[in-house]
Amino acid sequence: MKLLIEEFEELNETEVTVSHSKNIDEDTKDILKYLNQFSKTITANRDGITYKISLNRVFYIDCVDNRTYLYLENDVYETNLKLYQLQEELNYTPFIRIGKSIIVNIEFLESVRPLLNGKLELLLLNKEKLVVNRRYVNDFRGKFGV
Amino acid sequence: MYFNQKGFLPYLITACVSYTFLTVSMSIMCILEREIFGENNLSMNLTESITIQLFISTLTIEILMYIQDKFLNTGMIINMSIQIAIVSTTVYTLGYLFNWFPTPFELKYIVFVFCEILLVYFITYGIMMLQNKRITNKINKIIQEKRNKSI
Repeated sequence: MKLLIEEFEELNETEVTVSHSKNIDEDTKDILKYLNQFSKTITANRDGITYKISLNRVFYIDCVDNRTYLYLENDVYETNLKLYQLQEELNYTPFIRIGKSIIVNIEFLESVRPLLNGKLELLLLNKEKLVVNRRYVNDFRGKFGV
Repeated sequence: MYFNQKGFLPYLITACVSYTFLTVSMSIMCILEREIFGENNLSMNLTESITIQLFISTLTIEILMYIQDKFLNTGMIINMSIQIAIVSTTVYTLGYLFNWFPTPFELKYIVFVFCEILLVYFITYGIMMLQNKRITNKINKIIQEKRNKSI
């Protein structure tokens, strides 16, 4: 794989172009998935102020009592988007649904361990723990190609 | 109700694993009881119809667990207690409908069946945990490799 980095003084914002052959290899897919996070933002509120949150800062998304929350490393924001709307937006990103109301960003996983009831427990880099429901275990494995 | 075929696959595999252990353990108990006491009082003989009924029961249990997982999100201990309650209710109900148990259904039979339920439950989920352990080891290796790459 070749890496070309060019500098243009007239550009205000970084532009990334990925050139690949017709058959995309796994490394390129990973790069696309990773880059997708940076191009997408979610509008969310905290303390009455609206922010644009870049997806690459979101550890996981949880829906409680029909309200959707974005969990960052130390902060929590609320968004007006519903979980199913976010799930559609999050295709081809490192996000994966792991429960009825939870979508997690696998880029922030520290480790995974099995539980006796057939579920998996995820440890995130911020030391929070989440559980993968048995219904979503196969999809979760698929995200890692296992 | 929305039925996710791919999402049901782990439940179907669990039903097959538990069915295997159920039939094997019942056969062993049947042989042991006959060898020791000369006749079968507690364990039942596995006939063609009973083996099919047992598969129906393991499949019913997993369908109920699929529904439970869809609607209830609880901690591990509560979740396992609910799962054991689902297994027990299904086994006693189907056992009554399929005439698995002798009449009158005495306490010793209830205790024997419950012990067998616990045995099959923990062996099945122990096997599933070992299978998941193999998968999580692979995932942890991928996570570690990614982290090393980014460093």
